[in-house]
Amino acid sequence: SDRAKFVMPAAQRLLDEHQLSASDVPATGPGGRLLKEDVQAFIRNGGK
Amino acid sequence: MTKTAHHELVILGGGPAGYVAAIRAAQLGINVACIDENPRFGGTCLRVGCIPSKALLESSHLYEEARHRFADHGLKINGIEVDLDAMMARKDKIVDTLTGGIDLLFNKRGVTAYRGRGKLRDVESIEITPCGGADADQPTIVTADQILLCPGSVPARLPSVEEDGDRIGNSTTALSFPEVPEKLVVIGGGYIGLELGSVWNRLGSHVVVLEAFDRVLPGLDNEMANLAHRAFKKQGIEFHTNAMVSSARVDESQVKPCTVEVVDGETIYCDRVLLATGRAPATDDLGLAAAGIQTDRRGFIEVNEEFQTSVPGVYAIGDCIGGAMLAHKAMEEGIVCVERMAGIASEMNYDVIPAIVYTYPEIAMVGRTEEQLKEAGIEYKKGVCPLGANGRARTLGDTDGRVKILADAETDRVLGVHIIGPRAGDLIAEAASAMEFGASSEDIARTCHAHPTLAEAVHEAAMDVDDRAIHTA
Repeated sequence: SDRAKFVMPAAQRLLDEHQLSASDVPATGPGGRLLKEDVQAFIRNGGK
Repeated sequence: MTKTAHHELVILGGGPAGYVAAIRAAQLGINVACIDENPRFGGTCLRVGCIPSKALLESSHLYEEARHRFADHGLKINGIEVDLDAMMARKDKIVDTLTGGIDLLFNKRGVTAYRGRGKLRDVESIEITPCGGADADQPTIVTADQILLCPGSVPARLPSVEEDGDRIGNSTTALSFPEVPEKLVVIGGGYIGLELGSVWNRLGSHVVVLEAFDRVLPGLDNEMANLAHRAFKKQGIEFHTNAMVSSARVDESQVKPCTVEVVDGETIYCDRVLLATGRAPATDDLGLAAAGIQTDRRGFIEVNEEFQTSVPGVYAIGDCIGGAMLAHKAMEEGIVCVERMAGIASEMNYDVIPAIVYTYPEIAMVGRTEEQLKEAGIEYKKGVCPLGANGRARTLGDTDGRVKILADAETDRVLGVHIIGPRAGDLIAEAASAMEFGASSEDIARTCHAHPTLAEAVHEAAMDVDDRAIHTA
């Protein structure tokens, strides 16, 4: 979704390193926050 | 003639659970009343718990500092004395101001206050019997659309300990000893026993703590409890662990007025005894049976996730429903419970409730201990920052302590934070916020912390989780 998300700082770092966009990754944190662990899971699952 | 009144919500108990719920309800436009049997609102916390104990801890700590630490700063004072009456008066004044503050808040928000002993007559009415005093009145019967029970807790008693409320008493007694006891026996090495034991130890008592288990401060992370135990011993508190008290009684025929017998141990003679083995729900005499409200076998009121008791329309929160018996847990439940009544989808997060022991050093924790993580089979990483590596701690002259952060080995999510040292109770707030937001240890590490502050130790510990702390090696 292109919905604006709040991205946690460590998640942003990981997104940047993997040239990902926050809108690609499903967020599971409180209040829809994108967590580091969300990005990790996304990468581990091969970008799904 | 009996007076009657009706309110949409009637709250029984004006402690942290009840008074907070009352104010929040009034803010939400609910016609709310709060009943309390004591001359002051505020409950255990404000009258005979958190607030007075912290006042005495602060005063006695300053005395200790003045005697033993001022010299380190090049400050010489001669002849410092304890004026116990003045110390108690200061404590009483703080309690007075804060409990009086609740009356002002009730007034301002439009909460109806009833002073008297409330007892359920049935599921929708409470009889309030005045407890005497100037405004003694006939009983009042209040009816309510909804009832919220917040009766709180009382110090647990032991059949083998003969409390006379003077020589042998509970935490309330120990907040107002008329003189510094020469020898004080504390039964129970939990936070209440150690906080009040610390107060009197600092003021000159020989304090002996008898703990039934093999360690003090149950519930705290082992490492932190052990560090604390060592510190308290160094301060002169005498500990007997695995010590079961078989009897404690006043016996004026002995040289010391109190006699405490320990199973397979020596008999201890002392001036005063503090029984601090825990707290029990104050659910007797509430008329619970009359209303058909169920309690468990220990007397805690059983509630569902909405804080509703076995009877629709009757709710219960705070110490009376068990869980962590902490003021802020009760306050949070008060807000969540009342907001839900008003249709707000409020959530209570029991995973993030900080707990603090206000001894010296202070100990604070939020989340899970290492032991709990091991037991649950959760792999974790650990980051530690000793306060010796913290510039601010050095300037304060307070370098005994550490911050420990436990993070999930795979996801880096912060699972628990444990702090021992100066102002640990204030430092834990950052960790609680971080956990509430689902933070990883890296999130804390990437947050700019002011320098020089004790909070930097939290920052460093977060960096240490990934072995990249700057100021420790």
